[in-house]
Amino acid sequence: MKKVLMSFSSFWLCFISLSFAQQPATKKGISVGEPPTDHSPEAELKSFKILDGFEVNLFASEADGIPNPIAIRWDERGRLWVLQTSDYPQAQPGAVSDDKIIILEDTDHDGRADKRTLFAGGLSQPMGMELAPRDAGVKSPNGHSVYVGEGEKLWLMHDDDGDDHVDRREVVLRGFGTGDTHQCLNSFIWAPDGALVMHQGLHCYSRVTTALGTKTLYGAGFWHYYPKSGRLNPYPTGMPLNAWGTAFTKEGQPIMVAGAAGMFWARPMEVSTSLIENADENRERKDTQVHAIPHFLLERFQLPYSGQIIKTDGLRKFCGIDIVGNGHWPESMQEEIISGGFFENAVYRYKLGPDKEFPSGMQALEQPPLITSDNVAFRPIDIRFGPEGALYIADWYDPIIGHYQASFRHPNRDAKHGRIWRVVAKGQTNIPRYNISEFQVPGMKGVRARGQPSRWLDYQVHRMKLPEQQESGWTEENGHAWYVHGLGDLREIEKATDDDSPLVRLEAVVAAAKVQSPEAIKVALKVLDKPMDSFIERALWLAVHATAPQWKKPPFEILNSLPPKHLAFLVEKEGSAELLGVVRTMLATQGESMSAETRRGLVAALVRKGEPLDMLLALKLGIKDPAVLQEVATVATQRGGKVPEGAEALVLGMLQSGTEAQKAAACALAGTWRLKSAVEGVRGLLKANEGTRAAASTALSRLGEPVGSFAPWVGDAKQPWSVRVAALNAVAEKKPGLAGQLAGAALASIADMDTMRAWLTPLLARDAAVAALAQALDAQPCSAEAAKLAMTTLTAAGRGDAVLTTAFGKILGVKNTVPAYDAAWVAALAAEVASSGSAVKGKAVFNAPLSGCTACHKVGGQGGIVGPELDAVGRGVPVELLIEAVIWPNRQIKEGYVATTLTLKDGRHLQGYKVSEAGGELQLRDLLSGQVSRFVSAQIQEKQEAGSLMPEGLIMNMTREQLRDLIAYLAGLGR
Amino acid sequence: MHPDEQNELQEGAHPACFFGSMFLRLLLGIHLMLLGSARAQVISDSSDIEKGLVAKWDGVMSLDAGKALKLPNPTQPTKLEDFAVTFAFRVEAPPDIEHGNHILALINEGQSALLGWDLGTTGIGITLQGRGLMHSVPISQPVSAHWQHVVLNVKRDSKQALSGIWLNGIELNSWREPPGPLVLAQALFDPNSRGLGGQIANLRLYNRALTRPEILELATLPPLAASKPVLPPFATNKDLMTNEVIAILGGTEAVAVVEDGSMEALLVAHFPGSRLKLRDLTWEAETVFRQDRPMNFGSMKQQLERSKATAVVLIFGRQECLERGESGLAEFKAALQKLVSTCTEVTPRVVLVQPLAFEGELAQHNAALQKYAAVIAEEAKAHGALFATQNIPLHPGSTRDGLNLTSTGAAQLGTSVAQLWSSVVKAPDARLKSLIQQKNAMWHRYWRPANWAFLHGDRTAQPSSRNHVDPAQRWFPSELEQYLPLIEAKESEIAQRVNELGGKLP
Repeated sequence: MKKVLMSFSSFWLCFISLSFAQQPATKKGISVGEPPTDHSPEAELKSFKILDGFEVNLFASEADGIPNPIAIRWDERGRLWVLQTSDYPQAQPGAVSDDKIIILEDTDHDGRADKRTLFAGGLSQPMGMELAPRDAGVKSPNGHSVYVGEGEKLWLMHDDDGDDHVDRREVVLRGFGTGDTHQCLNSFIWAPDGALVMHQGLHCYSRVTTALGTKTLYGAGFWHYYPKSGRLNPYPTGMPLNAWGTAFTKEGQPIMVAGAAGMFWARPMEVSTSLIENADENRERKDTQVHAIPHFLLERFQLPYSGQIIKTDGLRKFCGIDIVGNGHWPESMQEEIISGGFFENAVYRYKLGPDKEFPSGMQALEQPPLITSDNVAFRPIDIRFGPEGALYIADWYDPIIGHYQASFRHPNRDAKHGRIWRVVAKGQTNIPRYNISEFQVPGMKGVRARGQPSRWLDYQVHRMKLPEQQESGWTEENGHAWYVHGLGDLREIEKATDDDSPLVRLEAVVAAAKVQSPEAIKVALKVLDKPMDSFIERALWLAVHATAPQWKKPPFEILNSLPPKHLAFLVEKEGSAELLGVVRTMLATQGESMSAETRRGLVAALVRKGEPLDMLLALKLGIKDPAVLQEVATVATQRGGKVPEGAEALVLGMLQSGTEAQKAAACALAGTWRLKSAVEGVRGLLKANEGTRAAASTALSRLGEPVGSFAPWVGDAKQPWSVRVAALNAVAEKKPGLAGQLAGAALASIADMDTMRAWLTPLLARDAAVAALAQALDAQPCSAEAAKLAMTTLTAAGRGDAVLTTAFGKILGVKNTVPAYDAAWVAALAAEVASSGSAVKGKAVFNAPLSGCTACHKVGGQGGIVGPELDAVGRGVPVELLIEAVIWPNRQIKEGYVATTLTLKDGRHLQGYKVSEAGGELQLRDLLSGQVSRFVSAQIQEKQEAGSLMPEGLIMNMTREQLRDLIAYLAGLGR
Repeated sequence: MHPDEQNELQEGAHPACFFGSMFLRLLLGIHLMLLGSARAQVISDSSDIEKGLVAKWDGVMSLDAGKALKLPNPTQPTKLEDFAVTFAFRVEAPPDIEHGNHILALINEGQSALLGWDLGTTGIGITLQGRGLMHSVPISQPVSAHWQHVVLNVKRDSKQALSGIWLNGIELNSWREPPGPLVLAQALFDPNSRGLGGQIANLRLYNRALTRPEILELATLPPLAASKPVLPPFATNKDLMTNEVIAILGGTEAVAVVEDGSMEALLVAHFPGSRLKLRDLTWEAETVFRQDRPMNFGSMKQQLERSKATAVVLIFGRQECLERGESGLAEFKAALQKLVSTCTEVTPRVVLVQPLAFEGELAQHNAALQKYAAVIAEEAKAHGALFATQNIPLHPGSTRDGLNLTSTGAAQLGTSVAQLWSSVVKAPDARLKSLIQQKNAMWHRYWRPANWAFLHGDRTAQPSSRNHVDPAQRWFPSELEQYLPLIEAKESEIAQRVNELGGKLP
């Protein structure tokens, strides 16, 4: 004991000398962009590279009292209302909060604000603002009312007497989430149907009391608020995680942009799903419910297929959006989308066109940007066209834009500056400047007298006298589509589900989901009879959940009257016990007569979620349908369980006299159910054709046949690869060590990535197999080509297996090692990057197959989708963080890129992105095989968030210089 | 764990001891029983913090007593992946720098300390030996008669988990600790000191990381908090006490009542010199059925305790009536009963409030609302609580939409509560109301600040809440504590304004 204490004591002195030695001031701070040295508007203007044919002037600046402008909106008199916040991102204790709404006016029309009026002060971190219609409660013709989102509240602020100062503030609604201030209620805009659109982000958990019930929106989504009726509709979206702006096309279609990246087609998301108990233990808020929206909608890597994103060339980050529609801008640019590139210090342009792959949606083609700048403080975050057709840009002005990436109290955060820039086309004169109040026309008729198109004018007229329902009379195709989405009449909607236009069909689904009737789902499902695409599918998927309270009621008449194909969709997406009962009856009575595709769908749903006897029913149906048999075999393998009575005879019969497909399926079932009576029959198939032979070897292994019977096939070059892989699988199940050993010897003969992937998959799931393979490679190294192919395959799949990486790295000649995390090491490398890094050479490193970067990451539209796009990574992430992300990918993980590791009860470890988890079943997209596999909870021993899928150890294939150059390349992206 | 392997105080090397091993066995026996029933859903706050306890020392002892606490298994190394060490201390003598001044140490196989305190630079330092990590946090008054509470919380079960140091319930530092078990082969949990005068109390080692609500609870156990005085129910004396702290619970309309400030203004004016405080625990859309809070906010009981409530006003019933109608009356009664019982665990001084009538189309529900009011009145009677009635007709324009209160409605509802004590119906002094609104806005920023995701939610690992130079330092939780003196100062202004008004009713 004494010895212990003495040692302890000497340790302790050491502690004293060390623990406080590291004074914070000596460390380098983490920042996002060094601030500019010259903060003047002139210097910033000078930094702009402006599209030919346009020019920019300063409309207003901090000198006009608008530091950090966050939203800009127009009134009907052509005055710009500016919402600014100096309190952002977190109010300081003891400091007086005085964020403001300021009205800026250009009285002499010279393009520079010359009159400034303080409308309201005393706010704290307001995020959204829009002027209210005329009838919002102000009597004076010169008065205004304005909606403001501030923290938990939606305010309506009135200037009763028309002196441009607020006289009355009323809380309209309360309970909006404030978990993350840059995601609070923001980006207000009036929709064509009279709704005030408001966005909220990922960490906002809102419960809002309305006279029509408590409305809940957990996480990212948007609201539609109808002032006249008091209706408040929440629309959860999953992704986009943080929308910051919606604009409506001239046909009334909502285009949404997100700060977290991406442009979105918002209509398929306008289906409000109910809340369900949170089944996902790994989800952030364990104590609450989640919206019944598919899990995959939360995953960034699924975006292109998730029926929401408007495809663009690169996944950029946006704040603020407007659409060109005036006589001032060139004809060729009309209807273009303009959006603020706050992250890359740019203002973007896009042209919308049809999405050829998913025709109910659209695609956006990026045009040369309107503005780019090398001033990192230029942060365009709101965009509005003005009464004369000039574009006004709210410039937050701050070298730090990240809410996450830098301390809220970072001294470089700029709360002093802020600008409004004005962009005009050169040489345009005599452009009408609208001022609706001049017209004095009740009902606003005749305002268009000046002849030129003006979205500004149309919007102001609309805003001042809002409709509270769909406006009829739309005749153009897309306009008609817009009209359909608000229809409340199921008979009308039903007609639209059969429309030739996919867009109209999509709108019909959205419209049906809003109708409170058991028939609504029946109508919505009719779109399945016409071609589907991902947007329609998403809307229909959500509609299934949104309408569930109506259709999920006994005696399920609606369900019984559904065509089998429609029922199959419903069961796939919802799969409750009530539905399964209906499916069981339908299969028993009409199973033979329905289409093969429908039968498969229903069988799949029934056997996955149903009872053991359902398996027998499915098996009987499957005798005539190999695909059904295969489904039964797959599910039986996953679920295990007893052999349904009567199933054994059916299997034996098929083994003896079935078709090749039946024999293969029968092998799978015999193996899964361990049917000893089938051993001879299966063994007899070892000499059958390729597919059956592979199935037979797997089955025999499970039936207890010694691995010696088929192990020789693993190395037998005369066997086709499918048989060799099946044999390897069979060996791996029983003797993983032997499998590893055998696999190593055959590695050199694999020439393509697909085979390599199939070859490594059974091994990677088992530690012993991996160890044996590494040992085999150590004893007898494979060729460098094979090692390279194996490494590339592993990297591309995001499978960073330390043991195999080391083994292959040894063959290839290791160039580097992964150090333990060390801030000083990072700082030293960062210094090297700055002094001697070469972005040009780094690009070559990035693109080299062995580096593996492009397998997962896109730059300039090229590359994979497993990881985040890196187009502008250098703009938002400091070099130190880039180094950390490359070398220790798990230290900081972007949301939506967290992988899941499953340990199964059979000993396998699998890794991939979780596609869904509901009803006792988890679906995992294994990135090595590319397959989505389903697992029931009984199979899973442990489930963990595995952190990043980006393998550690990628740098082992790079020299120090190559690593340095790679970082230099990444740091320069977007700059 | 075999009973023989349970931890005990090691005698011999350290002759004096506070507790006999029998006591600890008894204690751990209780602990095992709790573990056995841990699957049951209803676990009270106090039993939860016994979960995962490896070793524990209740009570108080001198810092230089030099005793050791044996870990469960003396022959096998105790391996801990996640763990927490927590204790209270006070130092009454200045430090002796020459010898080092550690409070206690966890000693591992390599005989190195894992946790210690360096008084020379007025802070607590933590090191995990062999990992190259050092963390230190400042303590403003290391030598003080006051008890302070320390937690070292180590969480390594997932790649996103954070380990941290907490002082008096505030997380000061946190960082990522690499995975891998910590081996305590010598099995010693050793409070030790060189020439340091003071005391240590309630020393605990857990084999798991603690949550924020648990840390907050531990930070209020004796001797850290004075034992609570027995409070008289309103039934014995209806008046408010000197230094009364009134917590308000309720949903959207209760939020409006607090924000309006009329109720509080009338009360402070009616009881001049009593320094009564109002603490806003309301939450939008809250009902007796459902009280949502962000991650790590703490239970309702803990919220009442942390706000030091001596009286509670519950404003419920309207939303519940709309949601469930007459057929929901029985459920409402049960849920209200449960909520009131939670309150009475903290204080018997409870006020229930008759709901304000609906307007417009919703007025059709007023008949049902009367029945809800009757249930609330019954509950008030059953619990010996006061019941504030709506004894004047609803002012026109009390709601925006039949339900949500305007400031007129909020003032009326608030006044009905104040009228339990004061008969005044006149609008309160505007300046007083404004001061109260300012105070409540500060409380709001302290109690439920924006950016919770970064404060105690699932984004605490981000740089946002951390010092930009030393990312291990968390500025956010401790910065919020600056609100407490500001609130106190504002309350002094309120008291002063009440005096200016001559202690008269406004």
